[in-house]
Amino acid sequence: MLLGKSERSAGTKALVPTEMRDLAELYRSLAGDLMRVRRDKLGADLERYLDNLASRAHNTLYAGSQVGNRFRAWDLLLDFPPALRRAWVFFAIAMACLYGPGLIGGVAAYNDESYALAVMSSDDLEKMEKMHGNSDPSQRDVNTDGAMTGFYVYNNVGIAFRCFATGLAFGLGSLFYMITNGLMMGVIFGHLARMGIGPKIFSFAAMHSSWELTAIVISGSAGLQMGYSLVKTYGRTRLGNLRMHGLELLRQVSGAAVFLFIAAGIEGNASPSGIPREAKYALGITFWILVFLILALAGKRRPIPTDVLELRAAPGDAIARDSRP
Amino acid sequence: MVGRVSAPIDTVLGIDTPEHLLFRVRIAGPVRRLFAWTIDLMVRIFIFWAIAMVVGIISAATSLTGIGSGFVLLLVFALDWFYFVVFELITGGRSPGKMWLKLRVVRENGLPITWRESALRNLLRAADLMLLAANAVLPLGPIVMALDPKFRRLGDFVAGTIVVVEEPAKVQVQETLAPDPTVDLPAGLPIHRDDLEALELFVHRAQMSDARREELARIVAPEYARRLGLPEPKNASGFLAALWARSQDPKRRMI
Repeated sequence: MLLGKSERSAGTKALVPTEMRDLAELYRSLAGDLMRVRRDKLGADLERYLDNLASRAHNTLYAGSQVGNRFRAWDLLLDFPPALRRAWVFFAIAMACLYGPGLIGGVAAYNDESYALAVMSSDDLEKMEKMHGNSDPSQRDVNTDGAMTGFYVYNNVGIAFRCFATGLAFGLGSLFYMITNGLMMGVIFGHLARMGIGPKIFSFAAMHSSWELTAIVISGSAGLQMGYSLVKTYGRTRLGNLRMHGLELLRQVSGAAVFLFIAAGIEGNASPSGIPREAKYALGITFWILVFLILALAGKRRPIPTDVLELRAAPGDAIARDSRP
Repeated sequence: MVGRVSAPIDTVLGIDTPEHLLFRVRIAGPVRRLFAWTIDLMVRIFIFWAIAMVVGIISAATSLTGIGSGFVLLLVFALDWFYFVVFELITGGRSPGKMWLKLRVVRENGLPITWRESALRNLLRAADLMLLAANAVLPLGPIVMALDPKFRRLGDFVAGTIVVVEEPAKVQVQETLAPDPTVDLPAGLPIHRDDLEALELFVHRAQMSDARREELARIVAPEYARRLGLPEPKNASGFLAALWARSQDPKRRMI
């Protein structure tokens, strides 16, 4: 009865102090009863009933305080740039994996017609050409913009997610997806530039590229970090190590998600619009600088979160220290 | 590790508590979770359809079709990513599909989940839905689940959670046998406690036909009769039931 009351409302806070004391006493005696039922084999369903009661009581009593457990999205996001800076090695590797093949593919496709066809099918290339070659800003209205924004959210999140989640395969999946995506994007841009619509597509991509590409790099970097946590475990089990890194990964992924939303909003509305090209380039450069500033400087005064401190106190180190002669 | 899977082949996980109490929870297998996921899918499709209808009517009336479709795509996105998190946080680990099948997501030590676990396990849900090959029968999640003794999918691995079955157990009413068949039995039955448990499980199994019950009872009843020095029983299942009834008799507790 006491359990029912506390389960219905917000946990043990619903009980007055005398009820709390009664609950604790009853739980202790329940423990004794359950052990006796088991020892004397007093009945399987009685044991099951008591088991059920015990697990409910255990849940209620040990659920943990609400202090420090409440979810604040703002905290998660503010901790995102510091988390990324702590994992800067993975970020650097991810950047190399995305931009490296991108540049190579772009330059190669620009100079050589057949290179683009070697990487992508001619159907896809034609689709790209049509989409960007014939787009006329004056024909778009708020309807198309709205639709495209929704589409971009869905599409980009899928790409970024694949770069992250496949990192479970010891990081190899992330590497694969970033290299292939980077190569494809580079080839597309190089090919279209070769076709002569270079200024058009570059001005189209200028404003949202900073947000979108950085989000993909962050996702890939989080994927690499996830995979590496399965490799170098500091004396913990692989899964245990992965679980301890979970919050750090969550921070980075949330940051990437926010960037992707911004990118989708810009890509759907501002990028295809008819504002002059110079303005798009200028805004694009501004956004690149803004992204860099956010990642480099935001959250510098945040305290190091507790889970990171726990991570740094690795169990393996203590063993190594003690065994030194 | 806090919970160990019980030694006999079973889906029961024993969880230690600070009171040195070991209580057991039953972990949900892949099939049950698949059913729950299917129900959740239908609920999500229904929500999507309902909102899409409303959006369609509104956009037809106001000719804002593009924003409408963008909104609908965002709705699909939200239903994909946030549906489970919202329900798990509100109900303490249960989505509608799980509620239907009496399942609950808890942490591996039996405690309720927080937003961190919910976010992580749902983030990797899309990974569990991936197919390893283009013509694979099952996505990655059920395969991983089937290989793990605690039936965890990838999201559960990263978040440290398990899905348990909540059976509302009631104590059954004591059955009485008439006429009392225990009159012939000696006062103190030298039967081991494990045997008593097996007897109780046997007696309480309701799904068997009488013939099958008799067939099974006939395997062990002669042995018990021999141990007790009684003649071989004609009604073997009745004999076993009488043994168990005698063991439950509070006036003649066995050692």
